[in-house]
Parts: sequence; structure tokens; C-alpha cells
Amino acid sequence: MPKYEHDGRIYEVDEDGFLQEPDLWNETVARDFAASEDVPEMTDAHWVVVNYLRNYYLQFGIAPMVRKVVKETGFKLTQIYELFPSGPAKGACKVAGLPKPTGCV
Amino acid sequence: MVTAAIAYLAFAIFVAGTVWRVVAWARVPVPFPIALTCGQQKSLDGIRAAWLENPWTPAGAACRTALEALLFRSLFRNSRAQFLPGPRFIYRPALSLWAGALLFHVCLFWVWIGHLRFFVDPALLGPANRFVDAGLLAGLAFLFLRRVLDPRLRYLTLLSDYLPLALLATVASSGILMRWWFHTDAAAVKRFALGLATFHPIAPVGVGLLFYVHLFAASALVATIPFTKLAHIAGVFFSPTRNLPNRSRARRHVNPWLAPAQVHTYAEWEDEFRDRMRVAGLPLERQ
Amino acid sequence: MAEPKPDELVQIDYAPPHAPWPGPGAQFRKGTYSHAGAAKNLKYLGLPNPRDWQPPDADWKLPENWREIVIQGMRERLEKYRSFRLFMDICVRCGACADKCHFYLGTGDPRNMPVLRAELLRSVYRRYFTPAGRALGRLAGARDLTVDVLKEWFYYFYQCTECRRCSVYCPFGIDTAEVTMVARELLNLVGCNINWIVEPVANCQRTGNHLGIQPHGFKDTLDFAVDEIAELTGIRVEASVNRKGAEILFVAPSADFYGTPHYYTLLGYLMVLHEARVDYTFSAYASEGGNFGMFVSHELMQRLNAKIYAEARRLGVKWVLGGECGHMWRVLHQYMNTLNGPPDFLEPPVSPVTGTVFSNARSACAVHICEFTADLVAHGKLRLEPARNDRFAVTFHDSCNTARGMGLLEEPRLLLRAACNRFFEMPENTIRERTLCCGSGAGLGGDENFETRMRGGLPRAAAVRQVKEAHGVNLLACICAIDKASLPKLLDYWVGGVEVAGVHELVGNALVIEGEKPRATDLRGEAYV
Ligand code: SF4
Ligand code: SF4
Repeated sequence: MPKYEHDGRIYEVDEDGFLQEPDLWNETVARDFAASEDVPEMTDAHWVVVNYLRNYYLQFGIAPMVRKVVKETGFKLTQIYELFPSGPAKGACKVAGLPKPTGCV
Repeated sequence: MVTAAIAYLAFAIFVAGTVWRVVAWARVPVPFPIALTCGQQKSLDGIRAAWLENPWTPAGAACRTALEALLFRSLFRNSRAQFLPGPRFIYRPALSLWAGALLFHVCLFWVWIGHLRFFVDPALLGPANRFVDAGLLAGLAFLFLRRVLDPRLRYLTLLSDYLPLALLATVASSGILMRWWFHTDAAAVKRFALGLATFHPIAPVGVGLLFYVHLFAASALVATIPFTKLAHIAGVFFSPTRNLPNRSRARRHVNPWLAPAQVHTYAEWEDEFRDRMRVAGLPLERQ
Repeated sequence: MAEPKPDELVQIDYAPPHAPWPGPGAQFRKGTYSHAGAAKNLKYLGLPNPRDWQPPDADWKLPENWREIVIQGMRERLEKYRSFRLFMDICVRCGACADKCHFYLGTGDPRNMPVLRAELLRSVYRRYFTPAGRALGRLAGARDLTVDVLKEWFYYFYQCTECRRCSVYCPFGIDTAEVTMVARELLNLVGCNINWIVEPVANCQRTGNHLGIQPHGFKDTLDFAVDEIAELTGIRVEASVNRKGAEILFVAPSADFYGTPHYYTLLGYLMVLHEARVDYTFSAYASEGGNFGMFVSHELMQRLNAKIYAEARRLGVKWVLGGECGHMWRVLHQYMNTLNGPPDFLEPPVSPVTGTVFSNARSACAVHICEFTADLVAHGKLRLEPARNDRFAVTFHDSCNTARGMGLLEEPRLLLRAACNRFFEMPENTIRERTLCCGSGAGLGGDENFETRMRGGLPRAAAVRQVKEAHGVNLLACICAIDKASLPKLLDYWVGGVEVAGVHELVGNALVIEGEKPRATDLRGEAYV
């Protein structure tokens, strides 16, 4: 099982570097994973996206669809890409400790 | 007498082997209707369907198979891809294989029919003419040369692919030599062949070495048909991608070995998600 | 992982190696293979040999008697599938199929020629099941089943999208997709599969769809879509879930409820079905039309597919309408009726709008949405304003399964011609029954498989580039969820400036709904130009 290490903290991750156990997530975890996603600092804007993802995940067991993220956070897709260079489904979900969606998407 | 015995043996192996081969295929079920569609399906009235390339009746599928077996329909589609900067591909029609294969098979068939004159009396048909013989050799040469000259084909050719070509070449060249240059006593051959056909075998007399070469190579060829890729002669008729009609939604295809699915039932599913469904206002079977 | 650049990938060497076949085994180079199936998914599905492993590992942690398992599995399948048996016996190695595979065209790797892909299995078949192979070994083209051979199977049978293009050209109709399906079943017997397949399968078994959308989330998405349509058109369409007594059960690939640009196709469905006043319902239990089980085994395909008829029976509908998806329709068209039929509780489908009897679907009782909508359009039941799609010059990509496993060629074209003013075909060797695969089908669409996907999709992308250059095409329409997921990336990589959309998205754009307000934007929220 691959590991991801940041600042001495070690996490079990999947092959794509997503947190294995989404339940172990907290804000420190988010900051640690942000470092792996070219996000130098977690600003308020980052937190808006991450918290939205996190809450949606807790309610529905899956990441929200991108269209919904855009609409409900009020950020344009391009802005989300500025915040999380690898995009909402990959970068932002990774920071929010969500599993990676698998399927025809 | 040994000669006759070898011919009989080869023929017996061929017959038994073919029966075994065909039965082996026929016994195995066709579990799913996997027709490969090469044209518009039959659906709405206003849309013209391709009855031959995408048949929806068994008769249409039979025609499709016949076209495949007699005229090599699919080879006629052949193209050769070329990769160009751009990046870009062009696909040039490549009919040489179709033409060469057809030439070879037609000539072979013709020559084979011509041989019947040895086995029936009076002969109903004359022998194949020199153009057919030349065509046969040309076809064989083509099939052989493409395997050695084209690097891609050379790579994918197995040693065992040369065996039938070698046998065919031996049979064809010895036969042609006998017919056009080193004449063999055709009457003697006919006596021998008739003996075989009427189960009163006699030893061939007055035939040359070439005749033995011809006969033994032909025997070897015939005997190997069921056990090598030459079985494609019968196999083409069995191919489920071509001989099945495409009507699986109109008529159920039965699979003899299928067991019922072990489905994750609705009840199990609702049990897992009931609370969340209730909150979302979705209908429930059990509250 | 740094992704290779297009100008690196176009350096394709088609010259075969000097060493004779079979040559060295598979090289698991990063970017050219998919992650192994995770143990938790295998366990959930009850598949053999769940464990922690990855393809580049030297030790694959196979069961002790793996060889017997595989050979025995092969023996059973030789008795069950005539296709498999026949295709092992009759290939003459004429080479007609060799350059028809997009993976061969994109990699130049000779083992991606369909004939040699099948030969990977055929050589083992000869060794254990034919007298000549047993006696003569290598001379007869036979070889022992070793771990290296198994690894080669894994690499190359998860590098075949089961697209069936090779079979179009084969004089005996040899369908390498059939060989691949059997090979994958064999690999699965010893636990060798990929996560991009088994995770969706496990999700689908549990939640009803590949993505793992749970019922309340499914409802939430549909509500969201209904709201969006209301904002855009002022019309509130209805989208019921698990409603008993509806006339029709509508099943779409779950990506339509989740992905981009799939979601716009969902909006299109909702608008068309509303405008035609169809009495239909979605199901959150049968919320997946696609079937990744097909990429594992016939048994799993059957298990996942069974939900559709089961739900149709429970809800008491008359027939099933299916959305835009390629492999879903391979299953619904060629397998469902056999696997889980006969659906004698359903009725032969009749369009409630036009009265057309879909007699081609009278037994399976499942109709493709393109057939259904094409019938509406042919009868003049929809008002379409193609000018609303004028910012697009459109081409159409036939998905492999609907083209070669069904023959659904004209219905989507009829819709495109009605919904768009500018429609252009790609070159004829690349469409209809000769269509080229997106390169990501049959479960190969994982991000980690990037290089293989870009290579496999190169022939398709090159054809798109041709129509882009000739006609300024800037939108590729398709009717497949995998296409919608993979082609945007592929076309960005090789072409640039070509978007991807479902056919029903374009129909939805053009559709004039009775009583709608003037639309400010198209379904994507972009201005009409
Ligand atoms: S086209 Fe058919 S017979 Fe020819 S090499 Fe390919 S699979 Fe074999
Ligand atoms: S089915 Fe498609 S991917 Fe597989 S070998 Fe044939 S052409 Fe290639």
C-alpha cells in the first residue's frame, strides 16, 4: 500500500495518492495533501471549495458533480482550476480527502 | 498396392478428421447472439436497413455467409494504413490479398473439379486449361511471397504456415509438370483412380515418379486439412459473427448453459439505503 | 507523473523486431497499464484471490495452482463458447486484421495486431489442447503457460478495447473481442484484473451504478437538473425516481448523472421526454445502463444487468428506454434478453407519441433513445431550431458497440441533421462499421493508463483533425459515456479546439419546448452565436 508523507505525518493512500480512509480527514490532513497538489497555501477560497466537497461527501457518500460545485460555491470552473491546478475532481477532492471517482467520467 | 493404401489412409483421415472437427465445433453451443454488424440495423420504417451487411433473417445471414465463403466479402474491405506527419492516417484500399486469395482458391477449386474426370467414367468434364494452372501457380506464389517479403507478415507467420504452402506447391507443380511437359499416361492414372473409387484398388502401372510425388503430397495435404488452419474451409460457415442474424431484441436467443443471475436484490438494496431514501422522499417498499 | 508530449508519441516504429515472435514478455512501463484491482472490491464481489499487488511487481501473488486453474478454465470455456473454440482453430494468419487495430496503429507494437493478440492465447491453446501442439511444441506454434505468458496476457488483453474493428476485416469473422473477453475471464480466475473495472462493478453491485451514487444523491442530481432546465427555459420538467405505474423505465449510463459533458445529455433527455409527454420514471436501483461486468466476465455482466428487468417488473412498467452509451447497448441489444430474459412481464414497445411499434425490440422490450427520438423527429413531433447549434460545426463519432454490435448508424445522424445546420462526416474508413475506437473502451479509461489511451485514440483524433482542417469542425457528437469521458482529453491532446457532446445535448439545444421563455444560453451556459 503506497504512503504519502508530509511534515512527518504518514498517510495510507491509493495508487493515485488519494487518502485511503476518508474518515481520517481533518484540516491538517487537507493542508498536508494541498502540498502535493501545487497548492502552496490554503486560502479562504480553497476552504470554501473543500468544505463544500466535504459536506456533500458526508451527506451523499460521493463527490458532487462538477457542475454542482461550480454553481453552489459560486466559483467559475476556471477559478477552481486556479485554486486547484489539477481540477475539482482530482486536486480538490484529494485535498478534501474524498475517494477518487471511478467510471466513465 | 502401398500407393492405394496411402491414398485410402489419407482419405480416411480426412473424412474422420473432418467429422471430428466439425462435430467438435457443432457440439459447442453459441451462447450469445454476437452478430457483427456492418451496416444499418432494421429499426424504423423510414430508415433503409442493410439486409446483407446486417441481416435480420436467417436467410439474410445465410447469404452473408455465402458471400463471405464464395467471394471473400470481408477481405474486399481491406485497406492499408499509412501514418503521415500531421499526425494523420490514410487508409488506401488494398485489394491484392483479396484478388490473390480469390485467384488461388478459384483455380484450386477448378483444378480439383478437373480431377473428377479420373474418378467418373465417362468423364463429364475436361481438365482445367493452362490459364487455370498458371493462375494456381501465380496465386500460390503470391501467397508465399507476401509472407516472406512483407516484414509485418513475415513476423506474424508461424513455421506451420509454410507447411500447407509447401505441400500445395509440390502438388501443383508436380501435377502441372505431368500435364504439360512430362506426360504421364492419363489412361493408366484413370484406371488407378477408378480402382480407388470403386473399391477395387489396383497398383498404378506405367506412371512416372512425378505421379507418386503428386499423389503422396496430395495425400499429406488432404490428411492435414482437419488438423491445421486449413480447417478454415469448414470453419468459415460456423463463424457466429457472420452466420447469425442480428435480431436479438426481436427474438430471444437461448443459452443452454446459463444459470440464473445472483442478483443483488431490490430488497437488499433498499435495506441498505432505506433511511436516506426516506429523508429524500423516495418511495419505499417497506417503511 | 510527467505526461509524454504529442511529438514524442508520434515517433512510432512500425518495423517489427528482429527476434522472432513471441519475443520478450510485456514491459510494464508507467502510463501504459492500469492499476490492479483493489482487494476490497474483489472481496465485495466474491472474486478470487483478493490481495495487494501491482502489475510491475515481480511476484503477482498467484495461487499455488494457478496454472491448473487457468488451463481448467480454458477447457471449460472451449466447451461453452463456439466462438472461442472456432477462433482458436481457424485463423490463417493472413494479416488482414493487422493494421486495423487502433492500438497497433498508435503503438506499432506487433503484439497489438489483433492476430498476434489472439495468438497470445492461441499458442497456449495449442500446447494444451491440440495433438500437434502437444507433440511439436514451438514448431507448431505452441508454448507453455508460464508466469511471463500470464503477464503478457494481462498487458495485452487490458490493451484491447473489445471494439471489434478487426473482425470487420477478417475473412472468417474472427472477433478478437471474444478472445479478449475469454482471456479476461481466465485472468480473473486467478485475481488479475484492473481497478478501473472492478471498482465500478463493486459500486454497481452495491449502489446500483458504477459511480456509487446513492439513491438520495441520485434524486438530488435529478432535482438539480430539473432546476437548471427551469432556469434556462422557464419550464419545470418532471423527473420521477422509482415511481410505480409509469409506462416506461428510463435507464442511462450513470455518468450522465455525474460527468461533464455527459450531464448536458441528461438535460437533453429530460427536455425531449418532457416535450413528448412521455410517462416514464428513473430508477435509483437500476441507475446504471452501462455494464463494466462485461469487462470482467459473462457472469458479472449478467449479475449487474439483471437489475434492469428486475426493476422493470417491480415498477410495473411496459418497456425500457435506454440512454446514450456504447457498451451498455452491446449488452442491452445482444445479451440482456438471453442473460436475464425473457421479459414476459413487459410489452412490445410502442411509442406513446407516434404509435410506432418498435418491432425490432419486441422481445427484449428495450429501445434506444436515438431510435425513439428519431421516430419523433421523423413524425414531426418535435419542433427543432437548428440555428441554436450554429456555433458548432459538428462531426459524429460512431461508438464501436452501437456501430458493430447493433448497426445503429442512421438514427443518430438523422437527429444531428435535424438539430444542427453544419454536420460533416469524417473520412469513410473511420466511421460507421469501420469506426475507430476512442482508445479508452472496455475499462481502460483510467488516468494512469494515459499513454496507451492517447496512442490508442490517435487514429480517431487524426480523423477529427482532418474534418477540423477541412470544415472547421469544433464539436464531436457521440452516443457513448466512455467517449464523453475520454474524447475531450484525447482531442485536447492531439487536435485542440474540438469539444465533445452527446447527440441529445444538441437535440436539447435545438428543441423548442412548448411555452418556453427565450433562452439566454445553450445547455452549457454559453451564449448562442
Ligand atoms: S484477418 Fe482473421 S484470419 Fe486473417 S490474421 Fe486476422 S484473425 Fe487471422
Ligand atoms: S477488438 Fe479492437 S482493440 Fe481489440 S484487437 Fe480488435 S481492433 Fe484491437
